[in-house]
Amino acid sequence: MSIIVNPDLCTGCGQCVQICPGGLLSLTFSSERSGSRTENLSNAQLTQTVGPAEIKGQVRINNPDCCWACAACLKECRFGALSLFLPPALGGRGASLTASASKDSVVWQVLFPDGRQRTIAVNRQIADRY
Amino acid sequence: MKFEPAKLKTPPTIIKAEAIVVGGGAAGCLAAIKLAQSGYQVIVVEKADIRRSGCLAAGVNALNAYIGRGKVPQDYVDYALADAHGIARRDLLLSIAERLNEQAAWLESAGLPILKDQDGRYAERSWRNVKINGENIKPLMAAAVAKTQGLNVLNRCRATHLLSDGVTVYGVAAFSPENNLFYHLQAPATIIATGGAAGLYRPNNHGSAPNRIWYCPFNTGAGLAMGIRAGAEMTTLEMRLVALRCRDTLAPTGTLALGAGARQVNALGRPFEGDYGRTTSQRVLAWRRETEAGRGPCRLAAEISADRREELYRAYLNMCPSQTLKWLEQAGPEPRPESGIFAEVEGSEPYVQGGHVGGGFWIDTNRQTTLTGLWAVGDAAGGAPQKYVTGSMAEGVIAAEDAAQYLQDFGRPAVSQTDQGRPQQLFQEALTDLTAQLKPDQALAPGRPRLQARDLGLALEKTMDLYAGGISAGYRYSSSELVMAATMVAELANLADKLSASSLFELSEIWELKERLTVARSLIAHLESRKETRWPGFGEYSDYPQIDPEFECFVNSRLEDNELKVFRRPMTRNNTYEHHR
Ligand SMILES: Cc1cc2nc3c(=O)[nH]c(=O)nc-3n(C[C@H](O)[C@H](O)[C@H](O)COP(=O)(O)OP(=O)(O)OC[C@H]3O[C@@H](n4cnc5c(N)ncnc54)[C@H](O)[C@@H]3O)c2cc1C
Ligand code: SF4
Ligand code: SF4
Repeated sequence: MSIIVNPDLCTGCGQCVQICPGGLLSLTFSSERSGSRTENLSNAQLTQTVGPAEIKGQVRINNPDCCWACAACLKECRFGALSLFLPPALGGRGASLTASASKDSVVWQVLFPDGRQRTIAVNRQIADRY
Repeated sequence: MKFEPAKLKTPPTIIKAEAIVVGGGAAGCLAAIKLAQSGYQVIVVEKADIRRSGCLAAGVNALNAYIGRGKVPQDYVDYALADAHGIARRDLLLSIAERLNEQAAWLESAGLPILKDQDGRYAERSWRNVKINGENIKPLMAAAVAKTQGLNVLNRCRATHLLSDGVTVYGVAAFSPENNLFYHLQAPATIIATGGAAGLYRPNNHGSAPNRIWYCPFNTGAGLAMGIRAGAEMTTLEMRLVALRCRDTLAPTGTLALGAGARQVNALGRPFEGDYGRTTSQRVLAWRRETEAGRGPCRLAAEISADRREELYRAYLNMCPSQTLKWLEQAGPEPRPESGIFAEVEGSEPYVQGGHVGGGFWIDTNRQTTLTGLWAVGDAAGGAPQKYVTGSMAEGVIAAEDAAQYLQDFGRPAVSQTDQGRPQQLFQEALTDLTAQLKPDQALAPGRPRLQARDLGLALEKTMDLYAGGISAGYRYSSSELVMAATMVAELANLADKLSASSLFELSEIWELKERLTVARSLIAHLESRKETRWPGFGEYSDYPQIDPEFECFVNSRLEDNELKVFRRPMTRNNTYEHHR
């Protein structure tokens, strides 16, 4: 497990579903969320089959164990609904990482278990010194 | 019930192009762009989304292959040959080296930030290596692809078969679980750029994080497996990559070592770098020997100021965010004033790939494989270690130039006039192969265990780990262990053929397993055949613990009538190499 979704923030826009290099994410529909049915639909198909107005989906992590922790989905989500964490066996102690990406920067935020935060902004146009 | 191809809800989609590029990574993107710019219609088949796929999905930390100031391409060739303990192709290395700097310049023009010194030249991290902001490298390549005319990308579409009669390749079969479609892609030229193979060995992390590995876990050796099955020749698979990385996150170490000047020290605080030699394999060996001698844990430690540490955090966020998260979990929310940083190191599980080491397709200088109409580039191509991003891109360009020449000779009108029967028949065979395992209506037998792709995958990893020199075996293997590994992999392959899928998603899991099994089978045969220990950091053959000058040659293999033939090929000394068909 590496990625978690905040259901309050996820709008079901499907961007992360498209981007994940492992195809690990899919959308579920609100009408079906209570049940167990999951549709593995791409974004394009959703617009075709359901129509944008009706989409009240949420992201679902189908194979949480298969996550590579590449953080592509984090950077793709415009709503900050996804975060990355380290399982305890890898040194995780309850903190999580979110990202907010724009054309020029990625603003990363670490949320510690005690509620404190640390923000690190990375300018996308500047090369690393290392 | 057997699923008949004729009963597919939607008939397979047939797409004709002049060239197909399988895999839209570093090598594939450049091959596709170059071919399209030469005026050919190109289709890229990509199993993920090219904006974030393959090795580059998370970002990279530097351009690791570059010809620095005062150096010439031949220096690169000499370096890479020495690092590979002699087993590499000069012709391939030279043609890569001559184009590395072009690729860096291309990346810069595509928008990649590259650090400059006061004179406006690229700032070098070492003579082979320039500093960048590599977080966005894949989206930048994808944007360049999107801008190119005559180039179409099929995202979320995985190639499964080469349509080949064993001599010529007519295209590929593919399917897309997301679109619930099978594809018949036809073209006179096909370029394999699917990367290397992960998922062969039991990884460092178990439990809930098995895919937290260094190499891209979604590169499952598809191109290699397709090539092996079609009878293409493979080389040097036995030179497995064991990567020395940060413990737990498997984050790259170059940024710490080369960038921040960190040194490897053992538990006594003693630096041991160079004690065992300086090649990539010897560096991994150093960590192992120190650990085996009870002087672990070993770490990379840098004396850097608190400010520079913040920069290091940013650099890691640009390619492996887990490592920064790990450091911050240790350090806490407030910036610490004291200097210094470290990360413990460990060896990864072994991978088969041709980007750092030499495993992959056996190709000629123009990157043509031993099958007509098929090229291989990047991590899928063997014989030229140390190519990395820029070298993979260079190979994409070289293959595209040759494929363009081939297409020109082939004659454009001939594309539509080719005997349609042949590819069609080959595609039907591939489709039957795929749909035979698609049994949506099969009822589960209650109370009986159901074999699943995932569980067979774990069995494969365990087998390779124990009997083919994985982490648990201390990267050591013996002849009798390899016999065991071969037997068990064959058994697992039989079981994999019997798995049934109820959807194309399940079918793709089965297919990835089969790819890994196919590569594993060839890998074991290669390990067995190189009866020496040439790269002890990557693996030690217990029966043959020394380097043997007899093996100053390539170990190659080819599947003939379902029998794997392993043979040797002499070292090449020339600057060109042609296949003798
Ligand atoms: C974690 C990591 C960090 C690295 N850091 C650096 C670095 O800092 N500097 C450097 O120079 N090099 C670095 N490298 C090496 C470099 O990334 C690779 O050498 C390079 O990306 C290889 O290019 P490729 O096109 O062969 O493979 P990839 O870039 O991996 O592309 C392969 C593509 O094929 C697709 N594919 C796979 N199977 C199929 C299929 N069946 N059908 C269709 N598509 C398929 C994949 O989704 C992927 O898009 C790093 C590698 C890794 C893994
Ligand atoms: S997690 Fe973010 S990107 Fe993914 S569907 Fe929800 S809102 Fe969209
Ligand atoms: S971190 Fe990467 S692999 Fe994991 S779910 Fe997100 S995009 Fe997929």
